[in-house]
Amino acid sequence: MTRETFYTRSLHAFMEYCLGRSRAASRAQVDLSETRALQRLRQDPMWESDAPLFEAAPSALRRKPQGLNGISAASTFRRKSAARWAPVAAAAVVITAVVFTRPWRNDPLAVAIADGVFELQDGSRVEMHPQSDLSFERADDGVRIRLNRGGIIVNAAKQRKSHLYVQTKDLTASVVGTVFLVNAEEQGSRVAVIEGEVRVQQGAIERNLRRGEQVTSSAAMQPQPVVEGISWSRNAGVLAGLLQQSAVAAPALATQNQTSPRETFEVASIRIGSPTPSGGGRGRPANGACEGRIQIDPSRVAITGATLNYLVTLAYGYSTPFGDVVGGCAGALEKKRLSGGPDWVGSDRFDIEAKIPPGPVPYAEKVIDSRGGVERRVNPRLLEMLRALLESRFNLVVRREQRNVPVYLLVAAPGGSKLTASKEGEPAGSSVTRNGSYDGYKNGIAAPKPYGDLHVGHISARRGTMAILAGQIGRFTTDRIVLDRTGITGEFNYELFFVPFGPVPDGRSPLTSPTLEGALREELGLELKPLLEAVEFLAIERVERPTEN
Amino acid sequence: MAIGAVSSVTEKPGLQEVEDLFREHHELVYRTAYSILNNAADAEDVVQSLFLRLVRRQLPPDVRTNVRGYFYRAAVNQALDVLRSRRRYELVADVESLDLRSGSTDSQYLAERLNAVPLFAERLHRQLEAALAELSPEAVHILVLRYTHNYSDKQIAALLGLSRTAIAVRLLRARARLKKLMRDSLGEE
Repeated sequence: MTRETFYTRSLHAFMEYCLGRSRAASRAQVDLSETRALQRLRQDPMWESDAPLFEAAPSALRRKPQGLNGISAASTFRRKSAARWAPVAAAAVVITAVVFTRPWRNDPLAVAIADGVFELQDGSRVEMHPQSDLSFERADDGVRIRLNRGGIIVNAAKQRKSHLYVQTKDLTASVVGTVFLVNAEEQGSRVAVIEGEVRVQQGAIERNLRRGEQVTSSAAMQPQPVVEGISWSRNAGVLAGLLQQSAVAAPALATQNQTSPRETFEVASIRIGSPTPSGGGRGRPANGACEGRIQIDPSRVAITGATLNYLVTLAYGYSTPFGDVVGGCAGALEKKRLSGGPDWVGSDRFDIEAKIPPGPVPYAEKVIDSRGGVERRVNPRLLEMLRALLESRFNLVVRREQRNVPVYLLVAAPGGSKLTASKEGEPAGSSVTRNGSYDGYKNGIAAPKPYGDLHVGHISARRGTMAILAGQIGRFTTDRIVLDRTGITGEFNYELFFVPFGPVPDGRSPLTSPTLEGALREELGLELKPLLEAVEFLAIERVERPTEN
Repeated sequence: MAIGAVSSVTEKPGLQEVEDLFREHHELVYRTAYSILNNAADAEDVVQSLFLRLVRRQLPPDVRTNVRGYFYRAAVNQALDVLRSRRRYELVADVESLDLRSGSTDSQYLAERLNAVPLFAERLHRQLEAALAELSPEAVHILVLRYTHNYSDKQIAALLGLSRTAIAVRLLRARARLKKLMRDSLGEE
């Protein structure tokens, strides 16, 4: 190990790196922070105080009001693209000039403050998704935004006397002071709450939504993670941070999250098996805490020997029957992405047999993913049925939270990946060694022993996917989840040796090069990028042992 | 009113002044806190608590003479308080992964090398945070102005109300102290 490192000899460069570019807040973060902080300050009782700060304020502190682009009542906007937006902004400037000279007549409902962003009179801000179509109208008791097509994110100021409404063709959302997303699509509408509370009305049905919750007006619309719905926003990172705060206030995710009826299994039977032994240690889950097997055919699901931990991670997409996703159930427990519940959720085993209702939905293991590759996964509608089963038979209540946490993104290195594709029919398997001697076997198959008695870190897999690799790397990152963002689909064989993590026993020598990052880059052409990203966490709030049938 | 939200408070002079001060200094406070804490939520908390003092008329009387300097110093001090209260833990990362001995001393080069080994870069960040928490607030004031905001000695002197010579001397001392702290944290010879 070098004892004379670069940064102590070149402190200037090191400080520039550490306090400068690598830790600079983005423009969007600064802007949203300004809006949010001002809204909160305005809610302070002292905000209304007439008391001056200083007896005679320094004139240098006063700012001239900045020119804003005023928009009169019932203006309609279509945002196709940045290029199409330019003439609209120019037109709005002209309107400003007229309105500004006659301030008491024809007050504007909204002002355009940036490309696709409007500010209402009360300070509320509306950000339009490209390809959207909306209009601002004066309502009897406030302002109505009519969303004809596309999506908007509304950052609503606290409404003291008036109301702010967002109306689509089939539902209306009204707010008091909150941040929320509305999408108007061909199939129906979706409202998702990022912060605060929103009242949604669809026909005669009214519902209150809180942080992290969403509602769709049509059964044909699949639930979508809120964080995905806001990904187009210029403030996506900060909005995701707001969602993180839902950790305290978010209600349990239950069946009422959609106004449409839920799909359920036709028949389901549950049998209680014998508990698994406990154990674990060193922060690892107890032995067997994540055990379970699942078989799916077009008409039936059979789950055997499964702990509730396994069932929950399966139902929420953290594990699959085909390999771990971000470390699977064990990884979810280790990184605290699944928490709560009595001890038996990691020891008691259950056998479940369920009949899938007939219908056109394919439940095949292999599906074509959005990038055109083949990916094995369980159909989301099947997972929804499993969640319904757990809620009805186990009385399971799970709180689902988005938290903005540091993660590593697994991405392809600039030169491209160097992965070796698996052969059809090869046996699948994977292994991870944090710090140990290499025993000359990989995945049960004898292999050359390249590093003798050296202590090494080791990752290998046959028929491994990038999600599996991300889960394996996650075993080495003590506090960060590793997410697959390679965009690479398919199955691969890989084997990495690198510097072991943790102290090596006396008398043993460690492998001194490469590091995990180096091996990833050199052997597989992949990299880890550190980033703050919104990640979902699950907390079991209530669960009961089911009765057998 | 034609200018929307901004105009809604103009009838109360004290209130207008609060909003003006907020809008003028928010970015400095937020960026300063963010650069020290490397976390948007914590930086927002700093912003909120500082400007709440303003709304509640809790500012010390000398603020009038140098409002920007006050908000800057308060932001650093508040961020350091947050930094010191954070729970510390060791990151598993191997130092030898970064062979920088023969490289250029250019900060861009350093950034590229560190970005290639994020575990190590994160460890460096944490060591820096620990070292900043050990420094005097005045030393951090000067270091952040220089390295985060790229202020010259003259600009730093104007903001903090000190002479250029005093800034140069204090910057030298701050860097020497930081260097020692960083060296100690790695056990270097």
